Amino acid sequence: MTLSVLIVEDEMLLALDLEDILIDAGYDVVGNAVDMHQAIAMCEKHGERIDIAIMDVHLARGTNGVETAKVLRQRWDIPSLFVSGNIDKKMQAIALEWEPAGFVGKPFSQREILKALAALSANAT
Amino acid sequence: MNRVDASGQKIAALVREQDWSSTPLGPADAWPEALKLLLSIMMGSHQPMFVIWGEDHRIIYNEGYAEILASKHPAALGMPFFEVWHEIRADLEPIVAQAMAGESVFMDDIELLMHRKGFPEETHFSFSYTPVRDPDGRIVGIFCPCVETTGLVMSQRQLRERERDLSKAISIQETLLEEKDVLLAEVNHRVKNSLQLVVSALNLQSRRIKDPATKAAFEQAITRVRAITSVHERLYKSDNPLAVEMKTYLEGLADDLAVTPEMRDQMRVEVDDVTMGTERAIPLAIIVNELVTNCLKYAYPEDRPGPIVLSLQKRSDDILELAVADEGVGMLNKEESAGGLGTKLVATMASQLEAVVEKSATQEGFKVSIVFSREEST
Repeated sequence: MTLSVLIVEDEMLLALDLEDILIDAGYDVVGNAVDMHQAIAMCEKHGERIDIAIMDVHLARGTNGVETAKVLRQRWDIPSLFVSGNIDKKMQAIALEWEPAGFVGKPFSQREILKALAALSANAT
Repeated sequence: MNRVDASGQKIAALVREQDWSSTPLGPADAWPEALKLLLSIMMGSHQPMFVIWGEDHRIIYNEGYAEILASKHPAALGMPFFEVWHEIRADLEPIVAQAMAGESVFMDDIELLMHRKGFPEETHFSFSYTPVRDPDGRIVGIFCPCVETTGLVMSQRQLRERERDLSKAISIQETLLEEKDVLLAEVNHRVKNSLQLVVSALNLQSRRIKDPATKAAFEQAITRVRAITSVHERLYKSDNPLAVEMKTYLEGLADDLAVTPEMRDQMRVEVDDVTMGTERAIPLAIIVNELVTNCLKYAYPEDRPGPIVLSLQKRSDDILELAVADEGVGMLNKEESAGGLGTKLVATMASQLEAVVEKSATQEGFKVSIVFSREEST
């Protein structure tokens, strides 16, 4: 099964790099949202076919990935793979309430991202 | 001593010259022995003292007390006490009444708002009011030695104010220092983010290159930028925004450099508890990047993987030794033939660190060690 991924990342060059990695590895990238508002709008359009969101913790316009992940999980049952260099314990605890797909450090390495996604694919099949 | 005696005599003369017969005290010749004795003690003393005597509490004082009276002297001499101190009468009346009732009064610090220099002035005194009796035991006057403590109280107050100001200044400074650290961490974060963008831009380009040699060169360039990026990443995660904790840093770098988990398993990272400033951590990062990459590429033929040891150890308090060692066919000769940029970078960064580079072929394999001082020589 090919996973469909939504990238939620405010730094668009990083998002582009990530999209490249994912497409090379055979994943389907639904789009890139830079903040919570855009992420929700994309899910409203394509929610049913999104399998996972790759989620930055700090998003544009003062929004944050933990809150966004909560909405995505509640409304569309989409899990989030958090990508962050500095998620603190408190944020991590809140993030864990909404059953995230995992946490990857930032700067992310291609290997870590693909490993996390591969594990998820394996579970899904 | 002369001065005290002379001034004592001056006031004594004033007392002698005054016409007392028109006052309730009567002519000085006829004053009771007790009063005469008290006056003779007072006039010879440097400590401020006065007596109040008779029904309307006439005051006679010495030179020391004349200074306290300021502009009220010499008019005050022989005047009723409460007329002299009319502005603080309410404060003094109960004390005088108590002493006249036979009870000695001692006050360690009384605050009085005096009007003795042409303006209202906060003053502080320590004094004792002692009742004086005639031979029949009736209270006829009060003897009062006193000390003005206004200067002491004021300087203590100033001292407290200065202490307050100082502790305020210190707390402001502490806040500023904390803010400085937060700002530095923020700057490191931003530098890291910008370098990460450079890495992403290079990655995007690299994936579109078809020629394997060009692609490899690109990827090597990327690992160099990543090594520098991760120094800044470590800086904003640590408590000290100017220093890198080398153990965590080098372990992370090893994770980054090992392409597969199997390769990482073969790597041993042995780092002492040591921190380094950015200006030295970055050249070191580049050296480690080159040496470890070479080891990973060339030390072992593909069918015979083996261990790689990355170590940073204290030789003394200031001297550190970085070493990368393998037990394989060796990385050095291979690297030379690959264009020599790696070797050149190692040599250049080592000279920036004023380090001594030693390359040695051991029985087990190859080892490169870099010996340098932890801090820049001045």
